[in-house]
Amino acid sequence: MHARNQRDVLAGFLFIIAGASFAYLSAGYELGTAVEMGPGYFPFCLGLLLAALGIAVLATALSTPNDGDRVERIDLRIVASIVGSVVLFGVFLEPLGLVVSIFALVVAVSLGNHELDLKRALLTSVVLSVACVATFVYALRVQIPVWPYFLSP
Amino acid sequence: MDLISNLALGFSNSLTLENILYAFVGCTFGTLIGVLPGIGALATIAMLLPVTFGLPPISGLIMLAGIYYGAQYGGSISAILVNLPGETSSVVTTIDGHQMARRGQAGPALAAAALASFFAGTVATLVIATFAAPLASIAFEFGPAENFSLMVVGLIGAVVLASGPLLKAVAMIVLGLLLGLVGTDINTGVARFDMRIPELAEGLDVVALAMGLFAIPEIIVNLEKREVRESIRVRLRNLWPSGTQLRRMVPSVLRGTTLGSLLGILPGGAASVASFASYTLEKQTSRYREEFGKGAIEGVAGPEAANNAAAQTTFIPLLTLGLPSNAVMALMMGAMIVHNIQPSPLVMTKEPALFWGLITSMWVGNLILVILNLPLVGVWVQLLKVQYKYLSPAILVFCCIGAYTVGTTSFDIYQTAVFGVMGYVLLKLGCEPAPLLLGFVLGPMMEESFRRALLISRGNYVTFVDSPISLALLAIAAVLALTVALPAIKRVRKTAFSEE
Repeated sequence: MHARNQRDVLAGFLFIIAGASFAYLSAGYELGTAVEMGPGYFPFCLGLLLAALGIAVLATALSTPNDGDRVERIDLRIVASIVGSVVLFGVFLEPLGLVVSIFALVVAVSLGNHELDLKRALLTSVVLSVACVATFVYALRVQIPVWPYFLSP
Repeated sequence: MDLISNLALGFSNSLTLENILYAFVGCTFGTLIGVLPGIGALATIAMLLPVTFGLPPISGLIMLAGIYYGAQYGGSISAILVNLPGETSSVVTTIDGHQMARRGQAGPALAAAALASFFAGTVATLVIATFAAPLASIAFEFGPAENFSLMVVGLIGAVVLASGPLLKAVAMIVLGLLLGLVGTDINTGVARFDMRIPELAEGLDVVALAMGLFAIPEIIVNLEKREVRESIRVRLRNLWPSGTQLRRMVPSVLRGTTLGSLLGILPGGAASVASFASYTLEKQTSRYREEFGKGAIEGVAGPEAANNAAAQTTFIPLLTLGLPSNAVMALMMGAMIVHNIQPSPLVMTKEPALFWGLITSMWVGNLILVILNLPLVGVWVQLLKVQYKYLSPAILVFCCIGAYTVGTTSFDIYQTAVFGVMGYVLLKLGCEPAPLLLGFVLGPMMEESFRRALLISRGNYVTFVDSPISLALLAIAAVLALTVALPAIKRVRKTAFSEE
């Protein structure tokens, strides 16, 4: 396929799939009537609308001359390191506490960023841990575990 | 006069030591993240929203609002000194502001920005105070059909004035609406789209969504680009502009304030649109237009006045009609809902202390900013030297902590990650995230109005065009949508958004 408005074509497909999925799921709940709307009514209409918009976007993208709107390069490593770091934080937070999670996050981010070597990452983690504990735990009294569950009093 | 007594009520609330402190915190944070590129007001408000849960509603809103207009101040600082706009609304300030800095005029440029912003903020506060009551009283005439149409206009308007390709933006709104419907339906008690995950019964988390859509993709993109930042060693002597400069500023400030106040009220009105419009206006009308691009003080004063005025008047639709006009307002609306304040025209009458307190605190905040920022500029400059590679993990950590504190569950952190991926994909596909957030926040309310309207009309869809107000609103929405298609408007929008 030509690289015609690649972004818009993909976006169109995305909307069609999303709209259709929502409409399909909505049909699983009672639709009801206009007067007595069931839980599925409004989302069903919206899902159809979204799919229709997706078709429109797709149609316009395929018919207009090439704008050169390609999808830009995706560096999967960076995406994975950032998203992964957040997930890791979420996994570690409750069992292992804030400090460990911060370290995990920063190290994970450094894996995707060649400017941040391990030494600097660890240093940053220390600074961040101190700052966060001071601000969130002491100053703002946020309920968040700081140390691993087997270490805290 | 009513206005005076309302303002008095407001000040009695906003001038308590506590609320001044919260305004101070909000403004300082706001300036801080405004100065730092790579993190914006929206993500910060999302991060600090959970922190406000324990505070009285007015204090929470004061702080969050402070972040928003504080960021406008901060953005101009980095725009002038480092040629990097800290906020999108400061993009225009980089043009002449940085040139002024290069010519040794950094001090007057910063002062011009600060003074212009303060003036604009004062005027905007008065505008809000004057127009709030009449607007709210009009809204009282609205029934569910009119409310629905109003929200339609608000959403379409937001998209027309503020985003790129219209079709995709509308699709984003609809997607947002759908996501907003995830969770338990109040009317029927049925849990929708919850994929049998119990945590989803209460719906998706607005904080996670905001951070995932805005903060995370921004970080990823910044790391992808690996920009090199040029910084200027600027010596800040002569902070004060000369007499001639002050005189030249005055008309620009007046024009900018008017433009900003008006644009802020419109749906989709945001500080960035206002500042760009002001720059264009100044270029057309100023006597010194040849200087533009080389360091004309009007090119700083006008846009700065405009963006600050807009940042405040943009609260009007939210506080008087319950309609958020841009993504930041959508988040503020989320904050209000969390504090059990249903945004609607009734807020003015039911919670006058909150309403007027918030409005007057915006003026207090502006005062704090002007007093603080000029002396503290040196501190902010130091901050700019922190390299992004240290900043990005810090931002992520704050996002994660913020997400966690909403429900004290890691599930919200996972939500943020998922939305981060979604936000990144959407960014790569050229879809604007702001309409999605708007739709998300309005989704449940739109369904409610829709449902009630049809209930009253016994299933007859004509009700939406039957009432004159509703018909007028829908017509406005249609006209707005159509004007986008006009070639002239298309050109203007194209240049406006390519500058970003």
